[in-house]
Amino acid sequence: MFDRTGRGLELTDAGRKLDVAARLILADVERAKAKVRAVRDLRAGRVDVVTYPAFSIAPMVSIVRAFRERFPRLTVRITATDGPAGVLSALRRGEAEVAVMDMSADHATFTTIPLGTQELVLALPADLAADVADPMPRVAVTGVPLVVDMGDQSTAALLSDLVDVDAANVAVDTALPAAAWDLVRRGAGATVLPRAVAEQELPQVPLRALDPPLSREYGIVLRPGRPSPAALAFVAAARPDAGVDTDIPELMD
Amino acid sequence: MELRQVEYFLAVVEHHGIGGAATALGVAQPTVSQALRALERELGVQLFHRIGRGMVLSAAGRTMVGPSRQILRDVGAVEDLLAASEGELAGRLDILAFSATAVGPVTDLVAAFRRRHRSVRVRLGELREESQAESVIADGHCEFVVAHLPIGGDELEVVVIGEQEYWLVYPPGSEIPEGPVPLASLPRIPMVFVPAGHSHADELEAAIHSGGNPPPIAAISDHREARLAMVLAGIGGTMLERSSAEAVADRAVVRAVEPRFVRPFGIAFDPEALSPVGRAFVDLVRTTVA
Repeated sequence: MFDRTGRGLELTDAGRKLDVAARLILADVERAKAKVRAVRDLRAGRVDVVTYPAFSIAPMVSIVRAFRERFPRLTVRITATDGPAGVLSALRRGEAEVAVMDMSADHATFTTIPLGTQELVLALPADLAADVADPMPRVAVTGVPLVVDMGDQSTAALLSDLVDVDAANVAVDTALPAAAWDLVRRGAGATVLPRAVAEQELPQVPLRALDPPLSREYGIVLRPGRPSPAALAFVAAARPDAGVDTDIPELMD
Repeated sequence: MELRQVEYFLAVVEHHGIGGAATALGVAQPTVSQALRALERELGVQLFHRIGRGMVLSAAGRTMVGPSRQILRDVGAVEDLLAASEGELAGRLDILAFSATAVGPVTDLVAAFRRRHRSVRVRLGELREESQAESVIADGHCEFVVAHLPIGGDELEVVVIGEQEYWLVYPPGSEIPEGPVPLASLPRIPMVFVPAGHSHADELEAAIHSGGNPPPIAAISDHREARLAMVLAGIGGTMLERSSAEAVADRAVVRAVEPRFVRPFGIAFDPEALSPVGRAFVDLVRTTVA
């Protein structure tokens, strides 16, 4: 690499080539470090989240809004699964780092952070709603045609009191929430959904609370081990949304 | 051939092996493998290749999947038929729809069908990949698929039921000049998109990137139903089907795009293999479209 001439060292041709290459590599290393720092310091990057239709709007939309307000340079990637079982396998496979899901589902060895409780109501077309009391007794719903998702076992379990023997009152079984809302607007049947979602998506459709009330607890689920900075940021954005403090020392280690 | 054997066969297909099938059915593994062997003996052909501890469908097995699902669907309809009154149509209408095409005309058809046939139950499931349209029908997962055109398959008949035009929807208060917005130079407002790899989502993305200055991404979400809520919450803009966009013109900033992005979509079925419920639905589709 060097000619040892006289008192000093002089680069050979090969040495000069290596010099250029080495500087390039050092610049590459710096660039790589800068990118990593940006992600570590939440100036860039992405958080990968997974949930299923039950929570895709409430609470997900308000969490994403809070997250983007605090970390405007970070992108949120939200994947969909059919239900809680798919959520855990997405976490295991590394497709997502954070899940928003039902707290009553099986969480195996995952870390859970409860966020809140969601009230579910019945949205029923006007002609079915006439003479129906608010709240409506659960057993009365078994006589109402429903547009619901029976393919997801956790939803099916939640609806067990509202569905007749053999699911005879399930008029349309659909996993597509937007299609379910459209069918309710067209009078094809009633559906069960969080009150906040009903008020936003079905403003013209009468709502009935259920008696006894129907609700589910939701929260965040993380893989065991140290979460990424973006995942911690997501948790921090989610917790004030549910009225709990943002202090998360148990995850910072 | 016994009904139980058909059930077991499909369970092994759906759970990728005897173990998973036995668990799902709540029976012992030997019960499933014996039933399967008996079925193979009767048909005189192996339905599965046994590779190591796994089970892979043979060519013969593959051809039996669709008809087997049809058998179970028709058996399931018997109870409904008995419960229904004389001459009343009963059973199940099975549709898989690509989610972008599952609202509007499709829900009109389903709602109208339910008004006409109160004893028919409907399953409107999700078609994850539009390229799977032909195989989900051949494999008996459903009788109908709804997807963008073209829909492949020589045996399938396709009825066009609508067209989809994408419009831009931005959070309330966004300052966007009146008139159509060029896709190649969208305003620098963060966007909420569905992931690439979804048929024309790729084409849209290419058009948006062609100007060299795409807008920042706020969120990428598989949950199509959540996009409007995200826009109204101020998280970012998005692209929605025109009628959905126009329906929120009072709550959000809505603009057409340039060039117009219009894709027809249709409903496909195998006319040779329709159940009575399927035939009644085809009649409704034809009269509605005509």
